Amino acid sequence: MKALVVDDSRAIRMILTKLLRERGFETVEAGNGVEALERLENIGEPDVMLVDWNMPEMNGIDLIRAVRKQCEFRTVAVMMVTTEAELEQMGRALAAGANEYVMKPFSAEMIVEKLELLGLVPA
Amino acid sequence: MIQESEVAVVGNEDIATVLDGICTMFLGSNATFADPYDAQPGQHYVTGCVSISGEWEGAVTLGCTLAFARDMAAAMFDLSPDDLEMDEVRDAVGEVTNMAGGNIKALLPGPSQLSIPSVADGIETAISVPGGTVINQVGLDCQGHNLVVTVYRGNTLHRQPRAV
Repeated sequence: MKALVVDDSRAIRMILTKLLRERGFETVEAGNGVEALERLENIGEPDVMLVDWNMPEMNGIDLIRAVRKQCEFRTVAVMMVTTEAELEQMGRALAAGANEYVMKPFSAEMIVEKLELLGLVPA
Repeated sequence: MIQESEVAVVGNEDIATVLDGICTMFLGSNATFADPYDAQPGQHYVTGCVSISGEWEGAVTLGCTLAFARDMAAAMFDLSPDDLEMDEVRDAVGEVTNMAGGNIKALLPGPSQLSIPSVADGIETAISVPGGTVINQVGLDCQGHNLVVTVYRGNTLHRQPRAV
């Protein structure tokens, strides 16, 4: 299993990367949407992308829209992990193509529960 | 002293609940109400700031001592506080400010957008938000450290916080 972690905070990338590696994922990191698209060109389609919303250069919503436009990435599972806590924002993320939505601060259990829902780790 | 302005649209209790959730998640310790600290001569402070723009305009700052910032960063990076680089401390404070700002924004009239966080640190350093009026200032204690969350209301769009 391969995961792409996209967040402008190194601390959050590290927390998510550690959590995913402990569950057997191979991980790649990016600090914004532009970097994430560059990583995708190199690694191909990951099984899951964990994407922050507010990032410099390209935000998470624009990244998800860009990914969903590309045929080869239409089936990748996308989990938005963000401080945006309003229901309207959750709706926007899901409409853009996110499959799951987690609000910060998050616990490991919250992320694992979403990975289970996506069928990426055993329930 | 905990201040809550008559024009506040978010309560100090709500702000405390947001910060308590963050502190509990990362440090495993509660944050409880305390008097906001006064700058002590020679003490190193770290302050994060995010702006809110849209239906509601203003900013949220989170200030703390370097010691608390190091503890928070150590928990997030899973390192000893002594092994941290200052960039990692700033990254952690920026992210905690981002979490606080995002959750406080959800309590305010919307829709609004949250900016990328900025962080200032130094001896006797504070952040001012030009044009902003303080509507909440909440002091909290976590693990014996003081932190202060301040909510400003005002047209801060496109303005950068200024270290003073």
